Amino acid sequence: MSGAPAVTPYYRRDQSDGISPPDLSKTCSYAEHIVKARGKRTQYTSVSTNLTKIRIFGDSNYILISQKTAEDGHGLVEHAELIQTLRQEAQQGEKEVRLHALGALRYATMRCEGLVLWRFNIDGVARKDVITWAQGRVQVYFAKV
Amino acid sequence: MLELFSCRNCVQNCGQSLNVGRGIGFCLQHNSVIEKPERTTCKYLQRKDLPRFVVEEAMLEHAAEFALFPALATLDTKEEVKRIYYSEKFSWEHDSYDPVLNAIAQYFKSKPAWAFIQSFSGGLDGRRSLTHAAIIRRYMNHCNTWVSSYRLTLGLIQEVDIDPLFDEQSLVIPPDMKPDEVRVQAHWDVIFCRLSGIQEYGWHAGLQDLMWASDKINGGLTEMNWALLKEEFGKIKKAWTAMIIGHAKHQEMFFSLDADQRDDEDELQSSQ
Repeated sequence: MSGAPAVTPYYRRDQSDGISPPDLSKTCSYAEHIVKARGKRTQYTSVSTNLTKIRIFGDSNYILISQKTAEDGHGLVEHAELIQTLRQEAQQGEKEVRLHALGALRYATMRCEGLVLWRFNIDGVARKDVITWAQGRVQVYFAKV
Repeated sequence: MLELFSCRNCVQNCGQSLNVGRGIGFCLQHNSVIEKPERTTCKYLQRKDLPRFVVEEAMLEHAAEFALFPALATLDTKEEVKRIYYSEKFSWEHDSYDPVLNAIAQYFKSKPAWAFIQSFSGGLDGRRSLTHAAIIRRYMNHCNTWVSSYRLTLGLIQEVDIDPLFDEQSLVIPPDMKPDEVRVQAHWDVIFCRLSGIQEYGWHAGLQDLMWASDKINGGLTEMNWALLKEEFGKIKKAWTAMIIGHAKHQEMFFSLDADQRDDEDELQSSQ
């Protein structure tokens, strides 16, 4: 995972009132996030190199401000790296790991997907408040296009 | 990707997937037409794209999220969606007749259920193939036992290496995508739905090798190479068939009177 800002722009389609917040308390693998095996929200936010490949609800398009994302210590799993990891898990993993990776490989390829891994410190934030807490913090990393 | 939690990706809406089946859908859980299947859901969602037992956590969370809705609801705005009974007359009068949907809507009028389900087998049409795999999975889930589904699963396995073919009008083509791109995705919708069905049968029957059938398939699945996968399926389906028959015989259920009687009793009980 790169700590440097991405050269390729990454986009997201979401609601006009902002980016859907991640659930920072739900840690999982890339594949589990992509196939939504653990639920709708996890510690990641999906982004794409190609806006036309995103099939998600929402009437607004956003671009990830990758410079600020990197400067503030958050991670970006770029598309090529993501596909490589998923392919490796699909080839070498077993059972759930392999199955999740196979599904994720399909979806991530189709959607030209990358992932933002948020590294906020949520110590002291009550579990029930984590999503609301994150909502107010992730918006600054995206701009409407 | 919320669409994974929509009626398009639910086995209760057998004739559609994320890429297959334009327009309205039909839900066998609620016996209702679904006007906007990509924006509709309910707490009984059973995903088509992966076996139930590997997405259980997500499905439980989803069920809790929609627990207060007695039936269908909108996925994004969480509003109740009223049940709409299917009317063939209405579809003719409004130029919206869809043969696959019309067939599925007859499900509760046709007995025995397994005979109705078997009538979807044997075709090359991709949408019918999707319907066949999804309706078997729905039945198996409702019956909640392998006993009433082993014959249906044997039938499914015989078709696992058959090419699902798609006419352009069966595909859901977003404005920015080309029909051929969607056709490839639609093809994989069917392959994953079939494979997940075999794996779910493995779960019900307690057959580890079927439950993790995806571990036995090598390059074809990882590379998303259908030609290679078709060859691998062609080789392995004999072993899968033998495994199911051997298990059913060992359990003294292979074409036994007991198993036959249980078929529709199970379905009847679960839909009451």
